[in-house]
Amino acid sequence: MTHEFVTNLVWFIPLPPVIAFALIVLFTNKSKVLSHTVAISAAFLSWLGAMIVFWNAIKVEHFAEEPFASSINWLPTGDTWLKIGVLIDPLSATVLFFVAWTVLMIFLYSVGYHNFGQPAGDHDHAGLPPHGATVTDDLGHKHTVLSIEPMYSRFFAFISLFAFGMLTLVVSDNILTLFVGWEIMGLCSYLLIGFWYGKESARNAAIKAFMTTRIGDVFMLLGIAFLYSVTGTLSFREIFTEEILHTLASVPSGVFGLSAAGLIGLLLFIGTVGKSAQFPLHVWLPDAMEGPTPVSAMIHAATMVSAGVYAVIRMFPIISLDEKTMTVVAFIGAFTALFAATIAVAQNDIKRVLAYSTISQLGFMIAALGIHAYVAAVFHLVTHAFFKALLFLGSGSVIHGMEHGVLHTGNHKVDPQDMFNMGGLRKKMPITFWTFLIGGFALSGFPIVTAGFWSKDEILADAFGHGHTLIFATLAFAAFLTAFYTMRQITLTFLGEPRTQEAEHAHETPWTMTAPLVVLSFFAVTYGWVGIPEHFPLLGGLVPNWFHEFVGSTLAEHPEAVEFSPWPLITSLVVALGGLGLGWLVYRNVNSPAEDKLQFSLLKNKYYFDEIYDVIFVKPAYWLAENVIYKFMDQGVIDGILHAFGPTTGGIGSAIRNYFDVPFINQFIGDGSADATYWIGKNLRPIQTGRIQQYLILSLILLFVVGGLVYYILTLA
Amino acid sequence: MNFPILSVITFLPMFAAAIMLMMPANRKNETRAVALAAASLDLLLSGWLYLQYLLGDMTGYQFIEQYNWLPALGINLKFGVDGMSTPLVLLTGIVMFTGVLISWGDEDPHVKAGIQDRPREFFAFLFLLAGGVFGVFVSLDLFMLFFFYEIAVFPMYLLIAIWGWVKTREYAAMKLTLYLFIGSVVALVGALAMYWTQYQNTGVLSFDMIQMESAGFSATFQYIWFLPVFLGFAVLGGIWPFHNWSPDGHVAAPTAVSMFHAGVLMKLGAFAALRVGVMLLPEGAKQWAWLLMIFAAVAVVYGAFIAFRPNRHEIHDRLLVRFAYGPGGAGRFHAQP
Repeated sequence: MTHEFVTNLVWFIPLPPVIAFALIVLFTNKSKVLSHTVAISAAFLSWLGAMIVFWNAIKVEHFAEEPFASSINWLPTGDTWLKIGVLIDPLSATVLFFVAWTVLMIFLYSVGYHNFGQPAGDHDHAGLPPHGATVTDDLGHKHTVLSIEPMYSRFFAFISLFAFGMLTLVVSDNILTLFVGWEIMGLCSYLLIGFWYGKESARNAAIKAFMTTRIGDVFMLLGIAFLYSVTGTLSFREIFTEEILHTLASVPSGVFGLSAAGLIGLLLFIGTVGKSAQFPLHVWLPDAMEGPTPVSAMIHAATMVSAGVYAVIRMFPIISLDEKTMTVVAFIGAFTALFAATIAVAQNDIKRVLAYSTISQLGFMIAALGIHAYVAAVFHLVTHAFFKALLFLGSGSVIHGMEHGVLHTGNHKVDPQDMFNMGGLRKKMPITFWTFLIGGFALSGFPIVTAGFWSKDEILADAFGHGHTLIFATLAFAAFLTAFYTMRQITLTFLGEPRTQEAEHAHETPWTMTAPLVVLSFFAVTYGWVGIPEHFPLLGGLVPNWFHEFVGSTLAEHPEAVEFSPWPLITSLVVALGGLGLGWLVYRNVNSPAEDKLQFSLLKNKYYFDEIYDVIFVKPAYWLAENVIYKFMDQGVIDGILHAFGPTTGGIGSAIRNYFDVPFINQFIGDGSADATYWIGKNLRPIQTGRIQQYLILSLILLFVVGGLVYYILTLA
Repeated sequence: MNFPILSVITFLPMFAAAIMLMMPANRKNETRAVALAAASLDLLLSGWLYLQYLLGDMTGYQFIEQYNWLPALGINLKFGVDGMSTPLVLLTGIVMFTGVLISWGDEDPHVKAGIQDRPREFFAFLFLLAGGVFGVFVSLDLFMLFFFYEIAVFPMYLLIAIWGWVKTREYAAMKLTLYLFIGSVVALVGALAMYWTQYQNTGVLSFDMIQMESAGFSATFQYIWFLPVFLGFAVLGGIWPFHNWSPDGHVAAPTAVSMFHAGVLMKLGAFAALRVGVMLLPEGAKQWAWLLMIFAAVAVVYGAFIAFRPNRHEIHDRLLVRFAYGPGGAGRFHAQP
């Protein structure tokens, strides 16, 4: 395939899902079969395109110099144009690979998750999770079974739109379309977290997620605007030239003594802090678990939150220009990694543990970027997407199995997501158990075999090798906690004996759910082998470190692989195995939350961040909106002035009427003239007596008077 | 002479309104059919106009029509569209079409937006309004622009006061109408000042806006008259702090009227403010850009706060946010000429 053909193909990668979205919304939403067929076919087409592009990308020699890139004019802005375009370089090819795989797997998984093929529920409503249906078998026994999601088609429409946003973001060659994809995902995240909008908690979580990420987005938009005003372009390939980067590094921004590059980097990074749920904007991600589990896996583990990290990786050439910004990035990442890991230790909801784990792992990547470990960050991004999607899908499978048990016993008070209600599921759900184990071990960094080991080890090695001791120590401790809470989760969920009747009656899930688990666990193991460092004892050099060469070539200056040192390796072995072992030792005999010694209320309540934010930001904002802006300003001052106009105008009218119109105009001209006429008439009436004699006398008098007058005037004149 | 498409687009709704008013009141469905037919035709025509403009060379005013009306005073019916008004004409066509559909009002109690009470009068007023809106977008004569502007505003009073939400409709309709008329009167004073100054400068009595662009208004003149003209029109665009008629109007108005209100009527304000204020008085716009930007910036934040206040009953308040962008864009546009 020619270079040009593949470049054109890239344009078509994001399109099938958005077409699927339109088709489902407009035409097929009545038919559940058609809707998921359309959505999955679209995801498959995108996957196929992505695989062809990826395959061609790794075949090209010196791919970084000749990426698949093209662009067209989009919006005229005076003399220039804002362009849209596609760019597949080593970085985006790598990201495209895992995005296409995880998206396709999660689409397939959603079919089983939403109980396709099951009967419609007895009391199910749109906006609420399905409650189960009663069926009667051939022998006349009644059973309660899982029921199909009432808004099945709507779900596939939303996730298709989401896939469009994500693929657009990955293939775009400029930060503007990247931002467009970013916002589409933000919208879909909102819609899907609030998918079961009948639940108040889901509605609140959706709003919280949207508002919190918006804060980051606004700063990011400011960063984009600033970048555009300094450089006059938003295209990656035009910005990442030596000349423009030099300008960015040398122009002062006037804020905190940062260079323009530093400030732009910081603003863009705040966008990532929101999207990738880093401290202090991490609060939305755990609540986002209110959404259906495929959504948690896709949006809140594998793709959207990864897109936040991807954006920073993409803008790395700018961000890395200013050391101050890099320090901020490194410390926020490392702090988040540790901070979220400590919370994860004390959570009992199977999905919330994974949510905090995601925050923590994203912190690893951000920290890696902050210490210039570019390749390590990308590597962990990819491996994490695979194993965290696997873990979320596994947890969804567990919850599904537990719901099966709940329907069997009919005790709806049992929370199918609480790990203390589980136990012993390894026998009931073997495929889920083994794949979850693989995912969990990958997350913990179980040595040599799992992908997570290689990527996390590389981050630690970079931190150590470049002398960032504090970051190294923080991340190492976070890695230890990661292994610990992962083993806690596996022990509580799968090992031991069932702690409830519901766990006793849990059931393995259908193939549409287990097949994606198997595929993802394949990657969770093997993907690590493409990035084995060359100087690694025994294994180094057996397989070439393809990942480092390929991804590293994206940067103009190829990053040097760090010298091998035994200390980080020993550290990662100790923390992974130690954490796993300790987790098993501590939790193998724990059967209830009361026996769990680590349930400190500080951790349990997530360091009270929700409460603190509520007091500092949410309540004052509401108060300001209600009392100051609305009641005082809008209704009081502005409407007050308006309402004053009415009475004032009326008052002026009355005054004119009462003090001018009535007393003067009316008195003299209106009524006055009538009154005068009347008065004259009344006073003339006495002479109209009707007596001839009197008239004659009057006539004579008049004659004399007038005659005298006339005579007098005539003689004088 | 070419097909007078702009006149047809503008007068077709008014013509349809006249026909509907002559139909028997109990023939509700026939009335609705006439309304839908006229709206569809207008949608097609405006879509065709848009395509023609896109496929053409997309420069300057096109499809110009001119008819004498009061030549002694320089008042002519002059129509024409440019790149700014063509999409707005299409937008009006779409809103008109969808507005008719949403007001269809069969007996289904779930269709809350349907108009079952006197649909004949409702559609007639709605179409009169639509005709006025089309007229403003295509007018190139300042007098005709005012003429259609008032035609567009007036039926709003009836539509809200008769078919609106019982509790606040009279208050809202009165507030809206008074507010908008005061705004337009202020703008009219400015327009007459332009008319007269042009006569003094060039000796030509004309309301033609294309001629007025080269009338040579002095910087002082522009500085003085920009604000009344711009703000007078921008009241209809809901510019802060002259926006309060709008949330009340939205709350009270029936759905289709709200659509017109937000979809096109408020664009009318911003459009006229741009067309008359910014295009004829560009120097004034530059001088005053700072004030407009302050208004716009305040409106964005202010509207956002009002929209998320708790216990809100009037969901339409959120629309305030959007009002800011039109005038705000104007401010930015001329801050960097």
